[in-house]
Amino acid sequence: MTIAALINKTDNLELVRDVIAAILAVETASQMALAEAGAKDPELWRLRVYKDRIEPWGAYLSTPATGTVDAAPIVNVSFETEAFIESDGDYIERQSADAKFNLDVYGYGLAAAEVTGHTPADVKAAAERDRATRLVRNIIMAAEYYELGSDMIGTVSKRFIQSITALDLTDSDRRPIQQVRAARIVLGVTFNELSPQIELVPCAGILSRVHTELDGEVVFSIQQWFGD
Amino acid sequence: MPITCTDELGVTAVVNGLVNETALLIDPDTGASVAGNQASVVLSRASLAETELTFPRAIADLTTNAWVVAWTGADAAAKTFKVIEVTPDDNPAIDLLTLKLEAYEP
Repeated sequence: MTIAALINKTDNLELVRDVIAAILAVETASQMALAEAGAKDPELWRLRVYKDRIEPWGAYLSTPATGTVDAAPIVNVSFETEAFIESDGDYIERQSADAKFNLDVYGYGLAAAEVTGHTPADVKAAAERDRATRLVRNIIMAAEYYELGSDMIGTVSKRFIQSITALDLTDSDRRPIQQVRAARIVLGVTFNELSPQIELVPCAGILSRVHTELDGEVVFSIQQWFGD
Repeated sequence: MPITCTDELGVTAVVNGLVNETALLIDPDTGASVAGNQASVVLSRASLAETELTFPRAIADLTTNAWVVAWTGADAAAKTFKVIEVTPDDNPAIDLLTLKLEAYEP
């Protein structure tokens, strides 16, 4: 017996990853609008969000000028691991899973001359990284997203930031890259994964009765009807 | 090609040199290889010594000006870079300095 139905669904692992990226994209736009309404520079709330990219910061390679959209901090949401919790689930349909998602934040800075001295690129890039990391952490852990949003209630049972680690990138000569500095936010999410099930035929009715045969035997019988 | 050099004291001089801008592979410590971009310039130490410039060096101090080189690219665009690493060649027959660079907003 094979699986009767075509497996044409998105696993919740993929869904959760997409939801995290969507939350960040929606909230960065919302925060920029709030900043503008509050007469603040909205660019300080801009994040460029990617999902599952190896090299999301390709735009930095063209050395965009400070303050341009291409120079804005980048967040890449990717999946790392999914561990299933045997004690919380069943072997038939629902398996609870603890998954880890990496939210890699990249800040970019160009060394620039100042009135007295100069600002090195690594100083500016670190400040950008820290600002973006702060934004991401606050968005993801905001009360509005305690289960990654109301649409995910029933699927997600918990989201929790497990660590934030600075990543200093190096080139092929193992020299530190000055203009791009990064941090990895590890986000743990607990949610349900569901698997294909045998499609049951609806039971339209059940008739049961108990009667006494002519010879005195008491008999229980049952009839069922399936289908619409 | 002529390279305009400006040291941390603000002294400027034009020195002939070779420039290089290449893409390369980067290992960002995450296990992934990605593309990068690197620029460098090669100058004669003897030519530099004939100027009033200080010896080129990477400067991390925020209160000091960066050691900067600039040139006009083949596309006629002005390019300015900060020196982030200096590797001298002590062979007297060659006596060149390779300056590794990063982008700089003058």
